[in-house]
Amino acid sequence: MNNTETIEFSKRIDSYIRGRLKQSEIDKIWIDFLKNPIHYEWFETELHLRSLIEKADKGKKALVALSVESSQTKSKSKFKNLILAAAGVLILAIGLWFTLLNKTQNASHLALTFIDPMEMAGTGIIRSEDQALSEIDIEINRALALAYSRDYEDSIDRFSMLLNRDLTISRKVRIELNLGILYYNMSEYESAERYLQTVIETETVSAAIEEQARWYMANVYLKMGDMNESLRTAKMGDQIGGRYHFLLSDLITNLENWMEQHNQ
Amino acid sequence: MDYSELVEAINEKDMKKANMLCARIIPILKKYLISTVGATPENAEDAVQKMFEYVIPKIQNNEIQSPSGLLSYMLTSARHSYYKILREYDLMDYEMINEQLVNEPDQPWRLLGEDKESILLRCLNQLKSQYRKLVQFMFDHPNADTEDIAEYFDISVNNVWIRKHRVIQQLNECVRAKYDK
Repeated sequence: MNNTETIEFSKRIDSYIRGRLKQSEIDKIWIDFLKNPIHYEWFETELHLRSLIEKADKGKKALVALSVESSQTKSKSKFKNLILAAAGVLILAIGLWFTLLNKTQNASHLALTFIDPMEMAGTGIIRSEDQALSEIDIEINRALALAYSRDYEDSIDRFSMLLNRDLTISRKVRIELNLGILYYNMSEYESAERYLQTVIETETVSAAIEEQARWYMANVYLKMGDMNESLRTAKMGDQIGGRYHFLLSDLITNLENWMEQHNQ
Repeated sequence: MDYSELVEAINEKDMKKANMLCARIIPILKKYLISTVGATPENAEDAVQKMFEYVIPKIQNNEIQSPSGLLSYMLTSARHSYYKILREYDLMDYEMINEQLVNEPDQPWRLLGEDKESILLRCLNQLKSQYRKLVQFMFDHPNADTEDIAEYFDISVNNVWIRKHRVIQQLNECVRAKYDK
């Protein structure tokens, strides 16, 4: 992409995010995304950056509002400007990273707050003519659909019932992985640990699924406050060197730094 | 992505390759539906699957000639499949969503995900100094437009667009590295 194209692309994305495009223009952007999936990634990254900026702005406004209220109730107006200025300095000091600073006392801030249900294991889209979708696959997709709509309890019920059926190892592992994810999102970490552990202990589990399960398991241990076990699990997952390698190595570094700082 | 490859794979009944190629665009098609017509992820998934069931025979019969024609056809068919799903399940829902065809300004915001925000927050720390200063300015002045940024950094407006794009590219590379290999 040359500079002119870059400017044009950035302006179009800016207009889209600001809601200034007609539907026909939006469709053209999406055709471009289909042709160049990296353009979609840039768009999504920009969207999330703007969301963070908005959230930070709301956080700052809340802080200023709190200071104004405090100044009015305690000392009328004499120190109001001083408090506002102090709030300003505080805001500047906190700056970009204010959301992270209150979290240094507990390493659980290094854990995922939520696992995107899109990470759950489903079934493929296109099959050859002689390869029909089995009844179990349809049931898996139904349970998955419930998770997508954040109906975790019903999704767990469906997946749990499926475990009583006669399953292939591959399907059993997928269901257990999904249950681990669902329980994680419901903050039921002991149940999440139980299912993820079963996935990891399955002899024929693929390296990719094992790595995924170990990544979530490291997060489960963080949430449960067991930093040593989290580190050990993350290191075992990192040895696989697959899709989650960077997330795992990032976690290992951050966790080791945290443990060093806190003499653990 | 070269769509002639997909056409070729489908025509040669090479389902493994077709699946692999489709896997690259399925997430984007799903997000198109989530964003533009407010589909839930599960309805988007169903609609995309039905769209392929409809489009694949068209490809096999050589009814779609150009790659851009195919992509446009995929978007339209995905939307129609989604409406059809709603019509099958709930007429009231269909009527309601159909009205949403008029563009809404908050369309793209339906695509936000908490996990990506959390990773992005970590990536901000790794930006090169000059890009970090730009992002810091954007955080400090959330309502600043391109002209304000140009004035503050004493650069041209076009340069601001380019720098902002470089920031996005760097952040995206970092996010990608954390998600994928």
